Amino acid sequence: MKSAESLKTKIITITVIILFSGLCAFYAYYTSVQAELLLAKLCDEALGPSSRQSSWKVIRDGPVLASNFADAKDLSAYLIVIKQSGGEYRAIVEMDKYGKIKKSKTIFLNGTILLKRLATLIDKQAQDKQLTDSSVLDPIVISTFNKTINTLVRLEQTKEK
Amino acid sequence: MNDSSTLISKENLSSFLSVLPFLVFADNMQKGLVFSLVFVFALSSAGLTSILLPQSIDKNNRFWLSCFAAAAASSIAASTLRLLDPLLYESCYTRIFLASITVPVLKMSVPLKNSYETEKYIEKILLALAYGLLILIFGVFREFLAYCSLSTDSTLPKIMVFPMAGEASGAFILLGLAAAFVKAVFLKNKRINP
Repeated sequence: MKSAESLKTKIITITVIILFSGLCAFYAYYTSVQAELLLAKLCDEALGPSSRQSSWKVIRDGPVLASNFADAKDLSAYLIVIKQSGGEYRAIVEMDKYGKIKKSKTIFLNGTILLKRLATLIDKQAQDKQLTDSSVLDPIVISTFNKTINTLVRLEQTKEK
Repeated sequence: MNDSSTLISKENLSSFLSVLPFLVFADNMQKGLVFSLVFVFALSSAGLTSILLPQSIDKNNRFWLSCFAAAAASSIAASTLRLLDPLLYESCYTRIFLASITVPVLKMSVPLKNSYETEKYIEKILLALAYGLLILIFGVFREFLAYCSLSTDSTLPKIMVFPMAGEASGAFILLGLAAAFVKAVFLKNKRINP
């Protein structure tokens, strides 16, 4: 009698665990879809009107948080998030198929002068300007800058394949 | 209620040390609020499950079920945060699930042996809530130190005045100073009331 009751309790417990796990998984899936839509809205608003379709995907590859490969002009857009010294820099960059930054838009910059310099370097890369000026901060931020550009180029090459 | 010796006991120290990562990760008010709410949510889920589960379930299973409830609560909290602010979620999600394996939450999952333990249990709840509040206060304090201002809007650009407060190293320095201050206060109290 007691073992039957114990078995019943075990069955109920396992059912509740499976049900809850399923609910949590479904809720996580639903929120991930909604979050991608929110992210798409945020990025599309920042980039301005374009032929881009809102199909942003979260990829979390180094400093690159999300990407959007759907564009009629063969331009890909990437959302980069860089954290340094307690500050944060978020920007959207558009790249052509040769891995060259065509446009960059800073959507959030909060932190130290190091991140500001990094933002300037990325902006200049987009404007196709020669980096004639130099700063004492360059040796500190250049590794982050190179890492970001390398990741973007790698992602662009992967997309081509 | 608690004198210095019981407050800084080994048991409380282990609880505090398990909450310590949240104090380091909460580098601004928003993150402080997120971690604090997730911690309290996981804690209350574990506590409620432990109390409300029928006595027919043996203590071991009740403990594991309460731990599962805390993990499920952390998952729900993380998903809700993702819905509200996807970018804030991206900077917090790797740490949120730590809440379900902190010592205060695990302690809350341990079922009561008898009704005499109720007072001890309430004490545990109050102490755990104090940890939640501590995470929030530490986040607020660090943001104020780093930017000399407080804001709930994360998109507002701000100038960093004291960057170290926003970094993990700054958090450890602040914690060291706070620990020294607390110890000094207790030692002074001990001298006055030996």
